[in-house]
Amino acid sequence: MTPSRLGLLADLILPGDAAGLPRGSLIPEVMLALAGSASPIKGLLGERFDFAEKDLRLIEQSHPAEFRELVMSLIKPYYESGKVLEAMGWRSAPPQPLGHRIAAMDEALAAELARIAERKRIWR
Amino acid sequence: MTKKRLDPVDVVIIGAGCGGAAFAWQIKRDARHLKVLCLERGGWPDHEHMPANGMRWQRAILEDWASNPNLRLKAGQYHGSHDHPIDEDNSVFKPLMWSGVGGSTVAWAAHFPRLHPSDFRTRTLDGVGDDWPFGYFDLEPWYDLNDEIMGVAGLNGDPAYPPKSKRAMPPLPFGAVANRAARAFSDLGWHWWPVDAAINSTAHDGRAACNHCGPCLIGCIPKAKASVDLTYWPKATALGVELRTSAIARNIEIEAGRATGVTYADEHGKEYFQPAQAVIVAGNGIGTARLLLASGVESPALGRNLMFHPAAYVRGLFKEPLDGPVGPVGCSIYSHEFYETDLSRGFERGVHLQLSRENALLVQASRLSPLWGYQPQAQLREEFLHTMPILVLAEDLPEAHNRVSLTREAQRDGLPGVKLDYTMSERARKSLDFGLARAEEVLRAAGAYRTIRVSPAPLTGWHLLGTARMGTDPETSVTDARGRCHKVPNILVADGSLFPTVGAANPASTIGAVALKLAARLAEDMT
Repeated sequence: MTPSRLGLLADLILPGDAAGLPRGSLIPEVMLALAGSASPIKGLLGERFDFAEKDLRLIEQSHPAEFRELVMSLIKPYYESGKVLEAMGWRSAPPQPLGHRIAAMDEALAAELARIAERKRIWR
Repeated sequence: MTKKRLDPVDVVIIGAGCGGAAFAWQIKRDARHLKVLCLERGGWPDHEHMPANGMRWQRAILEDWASNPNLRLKAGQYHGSHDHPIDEDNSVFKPLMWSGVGGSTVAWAAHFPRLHPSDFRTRTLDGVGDDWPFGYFDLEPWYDLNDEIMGVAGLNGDPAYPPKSKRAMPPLPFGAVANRAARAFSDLGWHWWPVDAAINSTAHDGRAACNHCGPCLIGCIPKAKASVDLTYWPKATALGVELRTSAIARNIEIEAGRATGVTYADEHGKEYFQPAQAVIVAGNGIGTARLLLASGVESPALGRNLMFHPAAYVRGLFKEPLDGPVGPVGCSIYSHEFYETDLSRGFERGVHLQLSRENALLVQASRLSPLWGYQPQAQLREEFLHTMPILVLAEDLPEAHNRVSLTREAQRDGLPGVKLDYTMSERARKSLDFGLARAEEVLRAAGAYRTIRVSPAPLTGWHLLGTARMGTDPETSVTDARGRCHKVPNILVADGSLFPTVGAANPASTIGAVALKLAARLAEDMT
């Protein structure tokens, strides 16, 4: 497949949104995964000059396992991308070593706990 | 192939997970003269190189650090867990487990509740299941000791339990989700309480405090989460227990109704015979049943009565932003308002409600249907950082048709293959539906504008229980109250497969406590 058609395929699978979620073709790791993929789905699309979402739906119906595998191979680098994580309101840094800040228990809940503790036992 | 015969030991333990670790430490502590060896099929977890400090941490959850061994095998990498395939096609719940030093505590959520006293007496109290051969209060000192060694963050005073020993650390912080959910439980007049977590909320026992990074199931780099490779094993080896890794137990050798030792293979496949006076099997519900069946231990109950804890959850969607995948995934607050039997609900026994946290973005994306195009991305926009999940665990009861059995196919580890057959009972379905309805009430009270049920939740099969159950009748149980196999009394079991019933709460605390109790008794016998 030509680079432009690989880009079209990436964008149909991961179209992004108007609020800043990038299209699949704008994530280099997605395009690398797609270019390096030996998926038979690429072969099925390869002879076409153009294709649209409805064409992919038909191929998905006829080759569900292979299609899912291709989609998963693109979803993984896409949602690992710092650009995508940040566009979704998350951060690009991994969980460690920074960890996260998290709110303490609301002070008002201490009174609730005291009230619960005064309940008759609920175990048998 | 000839086996090398090794110098004999007094006790050989198979499996370095939760039960095996506690057993090893306790028996050596009580009987220092005994030579105690543990054989572990996997390796040590490498906390420095766990996935949470790299950009592929989300992918790890789906691939090489997936909780399900079949998914890890498909990803082609082991990372310390020496997995074997499991035929799980005929099981509603898929097995989740880790086969290395630390066992499944390496990759668990560290929610650490005890069973209730009633859980040990379901036949007497409710006419279902079977009574345990001992009760909660017989086990209580061992619960306390296990809590001390594991390190528990929590809060005393919970009316859902008899008073417990002082919790070593204060509860973990709540975050926005638990603060909101706690208010909702209170508004409904229902019980809630901070969970007992085997996670450091402050620095404790030489390990750091949790920094709330989120993905506990891919290991804990700061070592804040207790796993028995960090808690029991350093103490056990300091006492002189030997732990031999990459040692796959293939057969327990039995002569004239007594075990003589264990045949195991090293990483090159070379076989050894390890003579021992007593053989302790601690491979949990699948590993223990597999080895005992492969070794020809005879019992009509062996492999049967597999129990998981049927699980489902409800996700509540909120307009306001919440925490997302921040904080220990399984450890915030829980409710036992509906844990004990109330026959007006239409079923015996009860449910455990547990507030959970959001999955990582990639994990959420990978579970959408449809998987691609505008719709799933719009759905993620709506849900990510706006979701509150509540997990429902129902009590499972023993049913002989739910089982672990051997296949005819030999696996690469030199043992027969293993197959699960498990269907959910009508009672379990009713329990789950009841719990899901209560979870929906809480979520609506918390302000959710929409709720989504996921029932059952297949990838929740951490609790692998009941397949070598304790009891007094050799026709219906595999071991006696001391964990000794009825037919081969110097083979003991020390893990969750012993459980005659399972309550509706996570089992690790009880597995450790039972292993300590049985080890103390064996130490007496061998002294």
